[in-house]
Amino acid sequence: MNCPPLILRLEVSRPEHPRHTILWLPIFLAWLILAAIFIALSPLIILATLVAAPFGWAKTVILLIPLVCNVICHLHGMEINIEKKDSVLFLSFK
Amino acid sequence: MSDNQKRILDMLAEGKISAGEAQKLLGAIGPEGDETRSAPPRSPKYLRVVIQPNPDAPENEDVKRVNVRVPVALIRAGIKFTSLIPAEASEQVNEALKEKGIDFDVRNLKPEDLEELIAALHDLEVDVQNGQEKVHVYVE
Repeated sequence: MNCPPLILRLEVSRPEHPRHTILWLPIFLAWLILAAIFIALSPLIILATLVAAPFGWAKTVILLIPLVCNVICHLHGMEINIEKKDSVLFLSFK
Repeated sequence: MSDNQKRILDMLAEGKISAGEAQKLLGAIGPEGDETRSAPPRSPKYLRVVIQPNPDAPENEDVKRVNVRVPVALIRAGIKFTSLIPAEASEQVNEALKEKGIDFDVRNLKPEDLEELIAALHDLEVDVQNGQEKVHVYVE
């Protein structure tokens, strides 16, 4: 399994703020927080799975978490760059 | 370079054959021994979508430049979400797509098909020029 992106590089430049801002955001902290929330909520998730089972939604609840983790782990290399006359927005998952 | 190609070039250098004959011979043996051509195609890693101002259109300051690089692995991971769509929801999605003029069944979207699609993307480039903008979609 791939490692989730650890750093998010964010570049912003707007006409009202001529300085080009570059931020290296440690998003691995967000993954840690999400993992802690997931562990705290796991009894509720199990309960939700049991409640959803008779309606045929148990598979959805069970599979949702690994699928979301899979998507997060494959964010490596994703880049979004939007430029307009004087403004720039650049996102890169490292 | 293969032995045959080398031999033809040696014969040309020694003056045994003319340049035209060498060209004919090289054409006849084809791209044999050419490692770059015989190598299997590299699987695409990223899908790139580039939107630029159309160079033929009059300059417009409102036109944005967009450059998005999406890892193919992310598309693969995302397509697996289709397995979570309940049957009733799939029908609703299909109806909504039909209303937009897209006759497509989302239930037919399977990871195996995606692999074929990604492999086919290797040879595909999409260029669309629409008024102010030029859209270029390709894999790298």
